[in-house]
Formats: sequence, structure tokens, C-alpha cells
Amino acid sequence: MKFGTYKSMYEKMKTSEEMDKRIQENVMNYGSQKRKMNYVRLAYRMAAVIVVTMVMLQVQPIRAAVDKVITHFTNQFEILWQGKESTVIEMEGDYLEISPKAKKKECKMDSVSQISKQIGIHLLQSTEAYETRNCISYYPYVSESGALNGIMLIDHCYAMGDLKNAKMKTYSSVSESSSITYEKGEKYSSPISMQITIRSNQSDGVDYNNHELEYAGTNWNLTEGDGISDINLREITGLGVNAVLFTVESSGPIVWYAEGIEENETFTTAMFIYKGIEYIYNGAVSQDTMVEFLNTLE
Amino acid sequence: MESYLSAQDFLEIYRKYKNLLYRIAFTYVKNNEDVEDILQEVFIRRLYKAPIFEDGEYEKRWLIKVTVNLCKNHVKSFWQRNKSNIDDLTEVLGIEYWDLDSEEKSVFSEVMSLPAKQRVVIYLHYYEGYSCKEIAEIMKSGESAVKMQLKKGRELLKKNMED
Repeated sequence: MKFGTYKSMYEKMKTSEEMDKRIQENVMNYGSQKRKMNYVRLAYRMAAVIVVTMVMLQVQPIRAAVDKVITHFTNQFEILWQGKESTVIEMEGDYLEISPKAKKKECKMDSVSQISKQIGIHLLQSTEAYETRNCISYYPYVSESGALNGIMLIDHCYAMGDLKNAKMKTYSSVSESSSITYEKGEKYSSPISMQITIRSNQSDGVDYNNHELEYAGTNWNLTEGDGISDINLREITGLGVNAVLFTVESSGPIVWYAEGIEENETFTTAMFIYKGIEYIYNGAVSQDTMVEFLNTLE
Repeated sequence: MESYLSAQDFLEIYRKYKNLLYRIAFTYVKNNEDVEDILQEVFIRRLYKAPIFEDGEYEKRWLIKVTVNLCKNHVKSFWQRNKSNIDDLTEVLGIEYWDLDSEEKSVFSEVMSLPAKQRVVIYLHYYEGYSCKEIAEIMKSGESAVKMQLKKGRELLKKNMED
């Protein structure tokens, strides 16, 4: 590598005056006003070339007569393969009643069942789950008026399958990432990660199209042939729902800092909605192995 | 919220470390919008939540650690992780104001195409001059893992630059 060029390149990478001004103002005003989230990134992501898109058809809970709230929305996946006709897949999601006991601060939790009890909603759990203390990151999304818009749960090491010598470090603070080392197994070349998204019916009129929870299902860019392939619809027989599965080239989450893993593995991603809740699982396993795992959910 | 630092002290610290932390954060997350969120959080922690530092080196390393941690967590959801694309970023967000020349742009593209772990390890070692042991402490990983990332990253860069 040309280290002189490398150094001069980094020398030139500097904050702009506008960025300095915004950061300084926000930091100095911290505590006296709510920090502003930066949504510019949404704009460019939305503008990127869309080959597979998911469109939320109905995003707002509609208050109908007799004080009843309609709490459904539809995720529509339009899959456009190169040179083929498009396919549309629809999945029904719900705005759910989350218990007032649900935590409104981000934290680490020990198990899906612990969270399930606290929020008063049944969440799918795998009989193969690898759950340890502080293994799940719990991210509530709270509006300025204090309403709970939704909850996102993430566990990068939810299932270990046949991985060997797995050693995991977890931390109680959400700002501390877990780390894990392991050796590949026959079927699993990485853990399977889990992401669960629950949208609340106390959403306070939030526009999910311009919200962090929007990432959980309203727009998704996949380009077949650009590291994305083999998009399939597979049935999870135990649950009676279909999951969208596809294969993606990726280096995986940072916490998969294993000595044995290749930098770019082939990962299978599975996503589906069950009883109104979005579930996404991702891991360096075959699609058949992923389906086997999905069938352990109950 | 109270801080033991005066506004003037804070601005001095900001000026001293902003570019170092910017480079680390950008090297990790590869776009200015996320970097801005991260830097904002780092300096909020420095102003309101940091311990009193005995010396500048301790403070610098504390700031780097917080930045690395926030970067690891920032791209937390599956969707965010998989949306980054260097072509989109360079084109849409624009890196032109850095005024990189063509050779630097070429190195930039090669560096940014490496896996995140390798990019950051290479930056901390070759630009900031940290040893593998020190990087292991900052990244919360083993020294051998850092050495491996450094070796792999260097080989990959060398190969790509020769192609």
C-alpha cells in the first residue's frame, strides 16, 4: 500500500464547519432540549436503486366509530428479479397493546421470555436459543410526549447450532457490545442473529415512514446479482406462516469477531410476520438449516 | 445537566479531538450523517459523564474507546447494517469537500472496501501509531485477533492496489 497516500488521505478527512457548529450546539444544549435525530440518511437510502421494495400500505392506526382502533398494516414485498416478472408478497402486521410496565429505557435483558412477560405480549422463542445474562439489547422508541412507539429487540448470538467452543462476553450497558469467539460447525458457520420489532398502538400518531422503526420493514433494497441471490418463500410449518428467505454476502455484525470466520460469508436471512410482529433471523447457514431453525420457534 | 468543564474547556477538547474521532467513526460507519450522530454522543459523554482524566493520553484513549463502542452499536439493526454501499455513499453524500486527489480517492475506495474491523485496526496502527496490544485493549479483543486483522487487511490492500 502507498502509505504516504494513505496518510495524506486521512489528513484531509476532517469535520466540516457546519458539522462542528451543529454538534457543538447540540452538545452544549443537551439536557435543555431533546437531541435531534438525523434523518438525512433516510433520504439517500430511499433514493437508492430499488430492486426489491417493501411498501407499508397502511401505516397509521385509524380510529373508527365506537372508539375502536384499527390496528393492522400490510407490508408488501415487491420482488423484481433481473429479467423476470415481479412477484408481490404481502404480510399483515399489527399495532399491539404493549403493557404499561414495559421499560421505556434501553437496556440489556436476559431472555425473550423475560421480555415477553414484561411487555405482556407473547414472542416467539426457539427451543435452540442460546440465552445468557444481558444477551438481548432492548431498544424502546419513545415519542417526545412519552408514548411508546414500539420496541426493537436484537440478539446477535441468539442460536449457536453446532458451533464449537463458543465463548461469549456480555455487558450490562447497551453501549457495550457483546463479543464472541467460536469455531465453525458442520451446519453453522456463524451464530444466528435475531431482530424482533413490535409496533405499539400507543404510537401517538407517529409516522413510521420517517421513524427509526421504519427500518424494520418498510423499505428494503436488494439487488439480485450484487451479493443478493436465491430469494425464496418458505413455509414455517409449526407456525403456519411463510417466511421470505434470501442469500446475501456479508461480513456479519461486528460482534461476530471470531478467529475462524471468513470476512465475507454467505448468509441466509429469513423474515416473516407472526401475530403482527416482525421477526428477522440472519446467519451463515444454508436456507435449509435456517428453515430447520425457524421450525424450532414456538 | 451539570458538567465540571467550562464551555471554553469543552470547545478546546472538541477542537483537539474532533478530527481524530471523525476519522475513526467514518472509517467504521462510512457516512457523515451517522458519524455526526456518533460524535455528538461521544462529546455529550465527554462533557457530562466522563471521569476526571489524569493526562491527555488517558483522555484520548477514553474518547477513542467510546467512539469505537458507539460505532459498533450504532449500526445495530439488520436493515441499517445492510444498507451501506460505498458507491451510494461517495456519490450521494459526497466526499468532494475533503479535496482528495485521484490517488487518494483510489486509496480511500480500497480502504473503505475492507471489512470494518480491518479498516479501524489499520487506521489505529498505521495512522495513530498504536501497538497491537493497545488496539486490543481499545477494541476489547485479543491481541492475536488484532494481529490477524492487521495482517489480513494489509495483504488485501496490497493485493488490491497491485491489481
